[in-house]
Amino acid sequence: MRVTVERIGREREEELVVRCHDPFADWVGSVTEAASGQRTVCVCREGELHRLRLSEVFYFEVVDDRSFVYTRVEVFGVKEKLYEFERLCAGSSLFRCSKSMILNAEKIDYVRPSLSGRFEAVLSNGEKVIVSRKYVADLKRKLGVQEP
Amino acid sequence: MKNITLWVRRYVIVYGIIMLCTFFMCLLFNPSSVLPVVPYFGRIMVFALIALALTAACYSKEELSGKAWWGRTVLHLLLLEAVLLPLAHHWGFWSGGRDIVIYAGFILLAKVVWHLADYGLDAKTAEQINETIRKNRLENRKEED
Repeated sequence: MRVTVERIGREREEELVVRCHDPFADWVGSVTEAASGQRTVCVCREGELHRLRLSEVFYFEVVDDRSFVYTRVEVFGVKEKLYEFERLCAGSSLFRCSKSMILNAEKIDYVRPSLSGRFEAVLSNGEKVIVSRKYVADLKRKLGVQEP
Repeated sequence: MKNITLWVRRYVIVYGIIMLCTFFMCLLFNPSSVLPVVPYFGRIMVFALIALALTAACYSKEELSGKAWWGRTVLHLLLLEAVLLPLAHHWGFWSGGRDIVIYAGFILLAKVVWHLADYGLDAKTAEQINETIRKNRLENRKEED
């Protein structure tokens, strides 16, 4: 299959056109889900399985080899490892912010530097998480920060 | 290549900080001093190189916790004092009890300036990010309206 990516100016609206033989093929569903930010992740809480949209996820964290997904007020366990979740988030607003965390850039209220060479991100639910200096370039790219 | 540029930039900053310290040290404690330009500049170049090598020795690619970062910073300062003070004495930059205190104080000051410069750059980056977040939010709100 031929894949074409065209860079356009900010004044034009972004769009995705899928030309396919079968509009109901799995890959078409995946592409349109990804483009509309509707990708989901299976999470578990108290033995119940839930499906969360990636856009609802605040951050993903690995603590003592166990993975958790945090939304505005809830915490869910997930089976995915960090690298699997990172792969799932490719192209979304989630990015790796430290060695054990993937953060949703859209949920950041503001960031501030800390003396210890890291950044503290304050999320829209008031939570504070650490962004390593190593990953700040990724955050800037996700947000579309224009270099002066 | 990116790494080389980063370390060259750091070298220039360290060199600049040492020259600033020299100026203030001479201004405050020996305003009439005359420095032999070529040997002095050459020695400061070596001095900056050693200071940078000590930075590299304490540098970690790992993500450090706040405590670990402070631990390394203090260790780095002790290393700087332990290596640079005898070297400076050998080159005749200081002699006597009062001088060693002043010199050690300036090494500490240089280290603080280094971290403040880093913090300043981070503050600028944070401001850029916050500005973009504000802009993006405003655009999203406009689109929703």
